Amino acid sequence: MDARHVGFWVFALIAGILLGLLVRAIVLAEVEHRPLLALGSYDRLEQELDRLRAEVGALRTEKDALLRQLLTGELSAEQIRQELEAAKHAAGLTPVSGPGVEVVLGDSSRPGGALVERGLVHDYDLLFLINELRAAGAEAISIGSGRMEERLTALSYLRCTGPTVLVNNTRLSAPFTIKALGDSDTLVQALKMPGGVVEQLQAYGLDITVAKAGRLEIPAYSLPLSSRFAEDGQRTAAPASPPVEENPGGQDAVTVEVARP
Amino acid sequence: MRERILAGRLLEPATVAVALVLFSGGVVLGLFAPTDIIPHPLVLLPLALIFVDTGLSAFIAAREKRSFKGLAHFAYLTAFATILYAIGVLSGIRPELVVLLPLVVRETLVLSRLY
Repeated sequence: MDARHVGFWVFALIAGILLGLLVRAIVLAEVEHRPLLALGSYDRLEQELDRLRAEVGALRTEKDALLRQLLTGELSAEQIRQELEAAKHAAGLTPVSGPGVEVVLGDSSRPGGALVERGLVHDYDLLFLINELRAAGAEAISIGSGRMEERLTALSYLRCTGPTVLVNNTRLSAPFTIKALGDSDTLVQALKMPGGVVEQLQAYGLDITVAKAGRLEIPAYSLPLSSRFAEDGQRTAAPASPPVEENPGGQDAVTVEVARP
Repeated sequence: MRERILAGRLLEPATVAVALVLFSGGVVLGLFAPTDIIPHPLVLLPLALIFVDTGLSAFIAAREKRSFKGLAHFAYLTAFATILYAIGVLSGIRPELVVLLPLVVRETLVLSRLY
């Protein structure tokens, strides 16, 4: 072996190692961090560019639409519509659905003797139950009987009329089915807590069952809205005028005044 | 490493064969090296260029029948690349460009001496 060739061979070995390491390093490197632009990363960059171009186009279109709505006043009308929908939802004027509990409250099936009247469901029993459900976070409540079902709102009332209970001017008789939308666990716990509503109503001899429901449907408030005396706070501060005349469209008409900038 | 490489000896088939075997073995070693010891491509690329430059310069020197100090040449280019890297870091310009571009230009000039 010629000693002068050793240097050349060492050089060849190190050059080979370097080349191998270089290839390995490039293969191991993330596509985004590769020092060389690979075909795959080029395609990926082109796809990203197309996506960004499409996003820019969509955002421009959206901006134009919003600008057009703003200039023509449609945006304000849309906002009013959304607020009106939210108000109707809060007032119980739209049907709703969701998880909750279903409570069936019926008259006592046991002979009551001298306390037979206490074995019947009264309006205060229902109010007691409804108050507890609202305190537990129920977002919508209805009372039904047979095929009838009435949504409870701020205008609702419950009143005993003989053997029946009047709800929203609809006569309902026992057993009553009370639906409440909300967190099922919370509602059930609130009703069944020691000394709570269920325990007290059972102590009176009433039949009550509470069941969780994955999806309940509650109808909208059925009666027409009417307001003869109550007025909006801003309008009340204005010079007095006959309230009935301010509502020329009839009792069901709702006047919305919007302060425009 | 102060050996003189002669053009006539370099082209001997046996010498070239041994060099090819060693080169291939080196490639295999590099390809299957543990990931923990693989340097960053920013180090590997200039190092590979410096090795190519050293090899080409040695070949040209042997062809022109003049002496060539391979180790000194390698050390000189390594120091040159390190200074370029420092300039890149201090100036804020991408070090890859500052280091690799002069080396690539240098290789182009060296290759042009082959014809």
